[in-house]
Amino acid sequence: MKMKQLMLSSVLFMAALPSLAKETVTFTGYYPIPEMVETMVADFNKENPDIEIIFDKCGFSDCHQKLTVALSVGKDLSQIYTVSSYRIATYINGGGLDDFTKAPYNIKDEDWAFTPSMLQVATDENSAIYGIPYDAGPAIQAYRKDILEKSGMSYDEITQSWESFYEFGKKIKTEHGIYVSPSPIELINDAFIWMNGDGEGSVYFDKKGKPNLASENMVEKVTLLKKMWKDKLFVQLDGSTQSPEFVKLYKTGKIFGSIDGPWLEGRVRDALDPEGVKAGLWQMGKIPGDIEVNIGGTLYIIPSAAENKEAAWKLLQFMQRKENVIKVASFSGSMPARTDIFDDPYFQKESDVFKGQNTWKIYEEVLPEMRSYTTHKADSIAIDELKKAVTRILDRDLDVKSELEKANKSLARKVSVLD
Amino acid sequence: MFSIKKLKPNLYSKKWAAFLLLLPFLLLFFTFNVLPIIFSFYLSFQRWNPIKGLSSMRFVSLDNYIYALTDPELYQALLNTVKISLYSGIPQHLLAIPLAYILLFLLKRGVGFLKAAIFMPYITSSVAISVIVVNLFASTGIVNDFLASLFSFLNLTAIYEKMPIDFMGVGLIKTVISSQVVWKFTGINMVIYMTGMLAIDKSLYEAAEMDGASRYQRFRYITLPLLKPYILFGTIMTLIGNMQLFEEPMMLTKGTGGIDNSGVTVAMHIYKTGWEYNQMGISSAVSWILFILIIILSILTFKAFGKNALTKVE
Repeated sequence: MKMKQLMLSSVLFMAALPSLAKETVTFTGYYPIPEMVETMVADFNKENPDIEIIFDKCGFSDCHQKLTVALSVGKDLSQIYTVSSYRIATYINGGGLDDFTKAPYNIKDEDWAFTPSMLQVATDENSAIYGIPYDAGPAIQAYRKDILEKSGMSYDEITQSWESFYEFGKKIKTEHGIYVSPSPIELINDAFIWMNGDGEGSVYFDKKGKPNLASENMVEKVTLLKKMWKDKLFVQLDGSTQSPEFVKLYKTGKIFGSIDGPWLEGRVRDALDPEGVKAGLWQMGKIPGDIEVNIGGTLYIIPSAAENKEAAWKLLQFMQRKENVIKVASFSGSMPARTDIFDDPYFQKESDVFKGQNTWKIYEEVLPEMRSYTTHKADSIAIDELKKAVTRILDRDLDVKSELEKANKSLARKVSVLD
Repeated sequence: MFSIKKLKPNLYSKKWAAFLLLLPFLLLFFTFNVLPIIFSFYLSFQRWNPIKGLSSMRFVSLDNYIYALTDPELYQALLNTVKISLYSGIPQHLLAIPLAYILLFLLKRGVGFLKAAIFMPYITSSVAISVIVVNLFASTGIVNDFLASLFSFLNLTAIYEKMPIDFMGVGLIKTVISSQVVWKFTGINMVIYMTGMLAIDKSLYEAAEMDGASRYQRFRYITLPLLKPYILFGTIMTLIGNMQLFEEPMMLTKGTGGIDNSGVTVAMHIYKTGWEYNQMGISSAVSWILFILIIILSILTFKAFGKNALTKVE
């Protein structure tokens, strides 16, 4: 009996040996990145049979919270996390991320070229790089060309400046009852605010790191929003493009367009107006003022306290191979942050959504031009504070300058207790 | 002679068996309730950015409490919470008591179905309900569509031109949140009051009936006074629950707190301070301030109900 038990235990132990020898890499990320990486695992494992990839899929905020909790206790960390460009400065400031310029990564030895606008947000003042950019978000506008035709104006004409965009908005609202954009709050982003203050520092803080929400530029922009709101050019005060209340209006041609990143392509096709896409009604163009700015993107990070970091790096290297970067682009429709891959035939074809346009070509032209800016550990708090101020100003018809000054004070108060 | 064996606990004795059986609960309770409470109290005197790890904590004495108590956003959240508590708390009980009475004493048919229908929202996910409410009250939602059609049909041009109504705006968001809370919690309060009404001695009703008391008089002079301990219990539970309201405002304002923070409650403020601003110490301090406030309000409620509120009236 004992002999039998011993043999059985030995067989089980032998069977379990291969899995015991495997290194695991846990990939924590928000949609659609883990789903996309999953499609590459089989190929990765052919080359790296000793590395097992585990996926931990979570929502956008949940993923960031998971990283915060893991860093706070310094245990059970995943090897790779996806982090938004808006939040990475907070984590860099925390000091719990690995610098990719150092061993075992030595990112500078790789021949990868990224758009400077994405690399900048992951780089600190000592040139340490804490994130590998996955995608980039040149600000664009997706719009209905039939509405533009109705107005009798050209796209270049309406996007000459934010003021000309406002005049166009008034025209389509009074003549056809069409809203120019869903909500003013949706426009509160780096693209609209750009370039704040003296053009240095982050968008929401000056180069000395002081809150800069009441700058001349900001007052000018918010005043414009106030005029647009008073003229009823927006559907409602708050809400993002894909909110159900807006989708209905997009489908019936009651909203002209949306200003956001390249992901609008998928959003228009899948949610906003699938029928309109089939009918070839949608086009894409630059945003008013001809501003070339990165509106956001995602980066991969490796926490310093994680284990199996070399295995995680192998996976990241695998994902950065040209063919895999292209796979990523085809899977999610996102704009790769790598600028050295656009010679591939994949990027020569016409868009399925914006008929007659090669959007990749447009992005490719924009990417190197996109201006870089530094990020601040409290950027997300600043955006929150600014949005609150703008809704207050618009809703209650308050004075722009004094309300922005109040927001600035409130932001300064919050930053003063931020470690 | 001294024996070590005698000192060993007899695991089969009743006393030790009770401890053993309670152990799983006690372990979970200590880990997930007691420890976080102690940690939160400790944290309320520390400045801590969680991203920097546990070692980055530093003692700041009462700074977090001073910061919290001088923060205008906390007072706004507190005012919102009190308003929502009143808007939702009072109707819950004003509806639950008559509903309990009607279902117990007046209705003869369909009682089971109605009880289940009224109680159902209590066991339904707040998140799922909120998604439906957001869509119902959106500017392009059914409620606005219906009202617009109605005003157009009635030729009420002046009102029609003001459509759609911004239910999620500063003016109405608290009412929308409160409506959802009333809808969700009226059922459980009704059950509490039904229990109370069933505990009332039937002979009191019979005697009153013989003395010629009407249904209203029986309700007013027998049911209501004898229900006092249950009303107190229901009020305290509602008070505690409403002061900690989180899911409904969080979902209905899509996490933003609404226009100009008009839908932010104290619990949401705690969440935002901790998780969005990474100020865990201040967040913990606000939690303790809220705890103290709930204790004070509970004591005041007890006092308002009088000393004999919990004594059974024979």
